[in-house]
Formats: sequence, structure tokens, C-alpha cells
Amino acid sequence: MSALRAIPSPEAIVKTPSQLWNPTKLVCAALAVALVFLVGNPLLRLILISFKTPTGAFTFDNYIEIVSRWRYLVGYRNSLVLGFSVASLCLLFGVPMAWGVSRTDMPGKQLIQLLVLATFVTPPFLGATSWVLLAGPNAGWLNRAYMAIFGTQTGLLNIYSFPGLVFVIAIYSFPYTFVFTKAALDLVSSEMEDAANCLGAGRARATFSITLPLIRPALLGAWIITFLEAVAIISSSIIIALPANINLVSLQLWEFFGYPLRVETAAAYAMPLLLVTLGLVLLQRRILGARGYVALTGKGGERRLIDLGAWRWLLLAYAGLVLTCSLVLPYLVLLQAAFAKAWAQGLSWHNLTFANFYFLLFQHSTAKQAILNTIVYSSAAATLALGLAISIAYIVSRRLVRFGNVLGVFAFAPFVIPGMVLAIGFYASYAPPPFALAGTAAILVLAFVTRFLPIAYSNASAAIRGVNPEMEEAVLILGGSRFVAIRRVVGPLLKRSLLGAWLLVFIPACREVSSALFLYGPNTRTMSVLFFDLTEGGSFEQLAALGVILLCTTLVFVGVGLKSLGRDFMLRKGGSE
Amino acid sequence: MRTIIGIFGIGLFPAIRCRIPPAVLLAFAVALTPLAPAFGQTADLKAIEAAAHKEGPMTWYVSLYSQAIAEQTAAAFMQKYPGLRIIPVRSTTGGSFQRLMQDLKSDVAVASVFSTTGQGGQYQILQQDGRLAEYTPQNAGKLAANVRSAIKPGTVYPMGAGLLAMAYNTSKVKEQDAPKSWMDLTDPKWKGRLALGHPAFSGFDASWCVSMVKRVGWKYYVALAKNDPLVQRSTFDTLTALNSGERVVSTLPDAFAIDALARGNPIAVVYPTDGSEMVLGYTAILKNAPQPNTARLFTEFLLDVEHAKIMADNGYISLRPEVVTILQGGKRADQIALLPVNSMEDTEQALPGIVEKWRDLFGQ
Repeated sequence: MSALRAIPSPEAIVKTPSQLWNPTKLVCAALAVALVFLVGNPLLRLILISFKTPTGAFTFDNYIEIVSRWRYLVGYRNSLVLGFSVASLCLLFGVPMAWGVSRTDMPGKQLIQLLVLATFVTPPFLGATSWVLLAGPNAGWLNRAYMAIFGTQTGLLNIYSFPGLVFVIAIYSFPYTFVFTKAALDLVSSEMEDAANCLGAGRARATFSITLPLIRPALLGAWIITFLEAVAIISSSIIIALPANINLVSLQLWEFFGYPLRVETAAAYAMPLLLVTLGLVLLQRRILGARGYVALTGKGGERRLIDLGAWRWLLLAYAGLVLTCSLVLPYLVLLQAAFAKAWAQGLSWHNLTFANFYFLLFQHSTAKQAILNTIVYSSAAATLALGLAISIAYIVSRRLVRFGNVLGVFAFAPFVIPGMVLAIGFYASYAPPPFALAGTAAILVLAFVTRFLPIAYSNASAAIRGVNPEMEEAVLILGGSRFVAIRRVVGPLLKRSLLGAWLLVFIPACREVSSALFLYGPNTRTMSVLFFDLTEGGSFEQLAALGVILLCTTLVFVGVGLKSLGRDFMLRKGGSE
Repeated sequence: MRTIIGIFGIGLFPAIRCRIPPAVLLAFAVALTPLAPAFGQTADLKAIEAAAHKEGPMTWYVSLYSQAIAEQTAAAFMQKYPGLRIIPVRSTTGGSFQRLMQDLKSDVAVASVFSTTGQGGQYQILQQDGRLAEYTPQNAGKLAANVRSAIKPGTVYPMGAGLLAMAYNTSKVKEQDAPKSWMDLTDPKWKGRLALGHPAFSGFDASWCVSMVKRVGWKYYVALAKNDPLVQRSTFDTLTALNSGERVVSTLPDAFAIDALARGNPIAVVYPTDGSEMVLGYTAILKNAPQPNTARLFTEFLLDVEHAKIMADNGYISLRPEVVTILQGGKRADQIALLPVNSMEDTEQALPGIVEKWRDLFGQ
């Protein structure tokens, strides 16, 4: 039995072979292989093929190619500006709302949190499509209303523009900012604000010079994640940037995947993007590393809500405005279109139909399959990712092996890889023989696992840190093995938080576009891919109907989560860190 | 006719004179008696059908018409041959080819039949790379005599055709104000009011671009770009923009208007006086077809009268002399002005350069 004990003891100077290869180490080795397969190899292949010709010879031509056209360079510029604008706009949307919910006596907090959650589960491409219907320059409902009211010939808003693109991406990314900010604010006690007040600072000054600087790590984290979201998003880019004639890195990568298929050029084109994201993460470390944010870790301290007086209604109105843009208006037009014969004809009994749903569910040869695929792949990905994440997190937190931290770093690395870039790496690694996974369910599931591994990992390690090791040590002392301890003690303790983490992988996997679009085959289409096929099919009505189906599917699972875990399960920090 | 010549200048006279290709004219003239099938071939089909039943569902990449018509075609085939199954995967011409090339590059066989407008020399590339299976459909001999020149014997066969015309939103544009010709679209009065498809994606728009560049030159698109058109991927997308009134005039395959009209949208089709663009849809069987016999049977079906009827019902042009397509407004295709039909070789040469220029001009 003692050989099974995996706690490295400094006294054990002489090791027997069985100690060198105990089950824990075997598990670690297996995990390391899995991580190399999922993360290391695709990244390495991506870098390697960027220096290769299609026939495999070494070359720098791909890098020359990516600067050879003005359009390619414009793509970089636009994407960077987009990332900065979206991330900053997200702060504007998310921070006041989070501050209001966490620190003030603003009314309607429960509802606001619920609506932010609803925004989070709304696929961005669905939102983008709705916003085309709302703010299309000539026919959008909002513009039509504006023209009718003010009697003008032209509308006010133009979704097919750079600001339109920024807005649509930001309005569906700000829940990240909200969750990060609120989680951090929840931990800041009122004492320091009180101190500032005592020293003569007003409420505003205390907030801006004490509270907000204290949560800088969270703000920076949120800024980076929304920046990455914006530069990597392909769905809204196709729906809005393409007709607006705005080239973006994401669109350019997609073009390289067209004919002639230029995987090598795509890999080279993705490199600067990878460097930028890496640079951002390092920058974040540097900025945060220089200061201490001890106040964040303490849970003690009194927290009092700030009395806003009449201002609370203004704050509520602001939150309401943002959520109207992200949810109320889009869902109104989406439902109208889904049940309409011709959406532009407006609301009327004459225009009401179920034909769009009927077509998708009973006449379309692949829609049902796509719905099923989505659920199966997302479940499989969530389960695998969580299994991997929990094993790695356990090994890292209990320091079961030396260099266990390396596993943690690998599990977290996909966070800085934009989804499309990851997909290209996956494609280059596993589509051709000997793996020959192109068009299979396996390549999609594995890509989803990799893509969402950081979410699973950060949740799993937070959960494990919450379990006191003493209980497992008790098992070990009583003669039980490490695996008995995990099965009987750790597992049951973590059940709840693991279900939450599972859903946090499942939901984004359901709506994942950027990797799916590069990796699917005709029999492995998911709903999000089908959605993209329908966007070029000329029928917004069917498109909206599919969106409603996709949303209902997700809501069933969210409902299960809400019922068994409580309202807050997705709004805790760690959603993706 | 005179005005067209006036617009395009003297140098283009020869092209205009034969602007209605004899191939197309004859297609509607019912000039041919179908060739009687030789003895023994029916027996062959029986053998193919028997073999097909052992193969399982067959994937079909198709671009010529919408998913709904593709489903209709698949359903008709499955009704004719109970037990066989076709899975249509509809995308744009460019999108379908992209998908196929990804499959081929990673050495997986998914689709058995590949049916697109072939813009950009898709079928030549496939043929050169040895990707196409040899099969001579019995029904090939029954196609209208004039489209037989488009056949690549043993591999690629035309299965139907569509017209790219123009359309406008009748609630925003009065009939007398609507554009009459392609050249009218460059009029500054359409600034911010046009919608187009993208030649890198849409086969119809690709073919039209090749024709217009051949005829007027690239300057046509430079002029068009000044009107700031809304460019979407598929030529279907233009219909969405038009239905909503987002844009009021667009290029549009006339057949697409039928469904939109049935839904109650305010759309009218204009066949431009300088010639609608006729685009042939081709079909071929892939060498690595996982269901080769179903593929043969299905290819026969695509060239058969049943499919021609589905085409005609949906406003596409039948290539079987037995079935005549009536266009919007009641005319037949041989009664309107048509641009000279591009051969596969034409688009193979011209399209890649045009797409690059397009992306640079429009930014995407």
C-alpha cells in the first residue's frame, strides 16, 4: 500500500522502481501526453507549417505573402482597433452595472443579474443578426421608427459600419466585464472607502481613487478577455464586417481557408495575432506584479451598500438601457422574424406562420442532426475538459509530482490562443493522415475540449482549493489509497461546483463558431455551423427560427443549472479567467 | 438592341451579334427527339440500383439552387428509389469547392456528387488532379442538343441553368424609375441603394463579373463601387436586403424571386436589356465517392425529366427539351436578351484575377 502513497516525502532518499512509476506518476504522464496532444502539438504544428510550402519544404514565403497586400495589413490594423474599442466599451457597459449591483442600493439587482446571465448565453451571432434587423441603415426597425417620428429620409444608425461592429461585439461581450468586476467588488470591504471619507474624500472620489484601483487586476483581466474575444470573433465579422467592407484578421484567415486552400499562409498570418495576445498577458503580469492587491484576498471587513439617493434610478436606467440593447430589442425582432412569412412585412395575423420551424425540423435533411450533434459534442467536450481539468488541478494543488505546475500552465495556455488560430493548428495536425480526423466528430470535440480547457481548469482549481487536504490525508493515514480519497472524499465534496463548471463549458461549446467553422464535416455540422450556412441562404425567417431553436436548447441546460445550483452559478468569478 | 450596341461600342459587335448563343436558343426549341436508349442499358441501371442499395446515405454538395430546392430534388429521388438516401449540403459555389478541397487535402471522402456552377475552373482543376470518376449517363444523350457542347465527356455534365437578372423593391421604386440595364446601375441615383453578391462566393455573380469585364472592362465595377453597394456573400443575401428595403435594387437570379413573391414580399424582376447572365450548373461524380452507385443513379436523375420539372417549377432553366421554363413575366429564355454564355475555360482564366481586384476595390 505504501507504494501507492504519492505524497513525496523528503525522507525517501532511495527510491525503488515501483516508487518511480507509481500510479500517480502514470496518471501524470497520461495527462501530459493528453496536453501535448491537445495544446502542444497543434501550436507547434502551427508554427512549423508557417515556415513551409504546401509540399513541406522550408520557406519564408508565407511571411512575405502576408505583408504583400495592403488588404492583409489593413486587416491587422482594423482588428487591433476593434479589440481596443470593444474592450473599452465593455468597461463602459459592465463596470457601472457591476458597481451598482455590488456596492450600491440600486433597485432591481436580481433582475439585472438574471438579464446579464441571459446576455451571456445569447450566441453573439444571433445578436448580430438581430441587430442587422434593428439597425440596418434603411430598413432596420429602429431606423424606420426614427424616420417615421422625425420625418427624415435617412435613418440614424448604420450597423454596417465600424462603430456598428464595435457595438454589436461589445454588447455581447460585456458580461465578462460584469462578472469579473462584480466578483472583485464583492470582496472589497467598505473600510478603505470609510477611511477615505474620514480624510475628506467624497463618495465619487473614494470610488475612483480607492475602490476602482483596488479591483484593477479584475478590470485588466476583463479588458484582455474582451479584447481577445473581439479580435477572434468570426461570426459577427461575417455578418457585419463583410458587407461593411471592413477587412479583419478573422475574415482574412477565413479567406485563406477558401480556394486555393492556403493553410500555411493562414498559419503565418495568425502568428502576429498570437504574439499580440501573448504580449497582452505578459503586460498584465507586469502591471499587476509591481503592486500588491492584498485587500482582495481578505474576506473579512464590513461591507455596507452606498446610498445613492435619487442617482440610483439613473444607474438603473443605464443598466436597463444596456440590457435593452443586448436582450429586449434583439429578442423582439428575432421572434417576430422566426414566426413571420416575410419579416419585413411586420406584425400581422396574415404574416404569422410556423413554416420556418416546420421546414427546419421536418424538411431540412440536416437540421435535426445538427441539433443532436450540438448537444452530443458539447456534452462530450464538457465532460472531457472537466475530467482533464480536475485531474490536473488536483495534481497541481496537492503538489503530487514535481513540475506539476507545468501541467497547469499548459491547461491554461489555450486562453491566449484565438479560437480560429487553434482550429488551424488542429486542422494542420490532425486532419491529414496518420490521424485523418478531418470531418470527424473527434476533431471537433477535441478542439472544443482544448478551447474551453482554461475555463474548466480555472473552475476546477478554484473548487479544489476550497477542499481542505486534511480530509484526504485522513484517508491516507487510515490506509486508503490516493484514488480512494479522490473517489470517496474529494469527488462528493466537489459535485456541485463541478456541475457548474460543466455547464460553463457546455454553454459556450454549444455556440462555438470560430473553431467549428474550420473543422466540421458534412455529417458533423453543429447548429452554429448550420446557422452560418443559412446566413447565405437568403431567408432571415428560417435563420431566426434556427436561432430560437438553438436558444431553447441552451436554455434547457441553463434551467437545469439554475434549478440545481442557484441563480449565481454562472456569475461567479472563474467563469473564464 | 441598338442601345446596347451604342453603349458597348463598335469593338464588341461580334460578341453582341451572337449574344443569344445558339446553344441556349435550341434548348427551348424542342428540336430534338430524344435518342432511344440502347438495349442493355436499362439492365445496367437495374444493376447499379441494386448495388446502390448496399451503399448507405450519399452526400451531395450542391450550389446551383437553394437548400429547399435541393431538399425537394433529394426527396423526389428518394421517392423514386425507396430505400436510397441523399443528404444535400447546400453552399455557395465557392463555399462548396472550399469544402471539397479541404476534404481532398486531408484525404477523406465525404461527398459523392459535386454540383456547382464551376466558376473559376473548378471542374478543370478536379479533372487535372484526377479527382473525377468516369461515368457516361444514359440521359446525357437526351439533353437539349445545344447544351451538349458544355459536356466534358465521361465526367462533367450540365444539369440545369439559372439566370442572373436584376430586381427591385416595388414599394420603394416605381416601375418607370427602375433600372433597365446593367449600365443603369452605375447611375449616381442608386448611390447607397444597391446590393450585390460576392464573386468569390456566389457562382452567379462570378459569372456575371467575368461577362461584364469581358464586355465593358473593369471600369464597370469601379463605377459601380462609387455607388457604395452592399456586398454580401451569396447572391441569395441580396434578396434579404431587397425584401427588407435595406437596399432597393440588386442583382438577383430571377428564380429566387418566386419564393420571395409567394411570401408576400414587394419584389419585381427586371431582365436587363443588355442581357441577363445565363449560368450553367454542372454535376460530376467524384473518384473517391463513398457511394459510387448511388452517385451514378443520382446523376441520371439530375439529367432526367423529373429533375427538369423541379427546375422549371422553381424558375430555373430546364435543359431537357421536354420541359420548358417560363420566366417571370411569361417569356421564355430564348425571348429575352442574354449575355454570351461563359465557357468553363473563360471563367477559369479570368475569375481569380477578378476576385483579387474585387477584394482590393471593395475592401473585402
